[in-house]
Amino acid sequence: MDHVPGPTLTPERTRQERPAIDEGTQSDLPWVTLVWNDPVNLMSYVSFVFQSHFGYPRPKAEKLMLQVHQLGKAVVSSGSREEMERDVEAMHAYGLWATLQKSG
Amino acid sequence: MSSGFRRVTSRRQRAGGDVLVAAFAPFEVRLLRQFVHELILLLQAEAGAGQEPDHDDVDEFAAITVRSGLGDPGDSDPVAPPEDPVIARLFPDAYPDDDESAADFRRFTQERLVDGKHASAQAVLAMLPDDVGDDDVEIALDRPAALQWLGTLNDIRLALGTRLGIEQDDDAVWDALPADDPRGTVHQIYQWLGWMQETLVAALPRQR
Repeated sequence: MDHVPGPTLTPERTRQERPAIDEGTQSDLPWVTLVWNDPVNLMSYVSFVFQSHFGYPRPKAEKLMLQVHQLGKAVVSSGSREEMERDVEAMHAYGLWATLQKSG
Repeated sequence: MSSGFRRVTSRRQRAGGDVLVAAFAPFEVRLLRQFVHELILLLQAEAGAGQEPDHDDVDEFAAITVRSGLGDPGDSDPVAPPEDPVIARLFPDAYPDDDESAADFRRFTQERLVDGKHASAQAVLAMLPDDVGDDDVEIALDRPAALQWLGTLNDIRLALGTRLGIEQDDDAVWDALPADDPRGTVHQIYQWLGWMQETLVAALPRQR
């Protein structure tokens, strides 16, 4: 899958290691990345970002984009807290409004 | 007027893939340069340190910033306040209900995000000639450059849209503005940038 680094082109820099947060109590709980609707981002661009960053096939990316547009938000990925922070950072690099939270 | 980006397959670039090409009228090149430059100043202010923009630029672009609404006209301090809604939109809280985690996230990501957006904007600016004559300027983008353009156009639109107070499906509001309302001009530029971005997304080859 063509995993493009986002429009900001600083992929070579090593990510700073983050201290583990709440290790042992929360680290195995699933987290989710949410993308929220906003009036500026183009629908085509949001769909493009979901395909580019997550490698989602076009139908899945468009379904998620429409969910964001019509329902106000959508869960676009899930995983460990650190993985979700990486996804949120990538979404912010693309200019999408994203947050993370514990699943459920 | 530019007719937007289209994909061109070059015979010389069979292996390298397609190129996205657009021709811009001289006034469009100047307009793009102004807004990209404003974005760069905004990001440099957010970065705090970084390069000091030279004084001619500050004077020249302060006026443009006031005209366009991208900057804060009432604020002569080049450092954007943290409560600036444009900065809040470009770098949203990752944890809306957890201030401490949100601050941590900001501490670990903000510099990288600012640097990335700044690098893209600088790359776009470098592709726009500052000495345009009377002829159209052709811009040809490979995929990495197209991604930089996409991100920069989007960041400018986020900034302008925030300053203008764009809302969902509000075209009627803008259409109803009196002709002499300066916001109308900025909104037209905002829409033009969006249309340009739309042609760029459409012309980009899909993922394999």
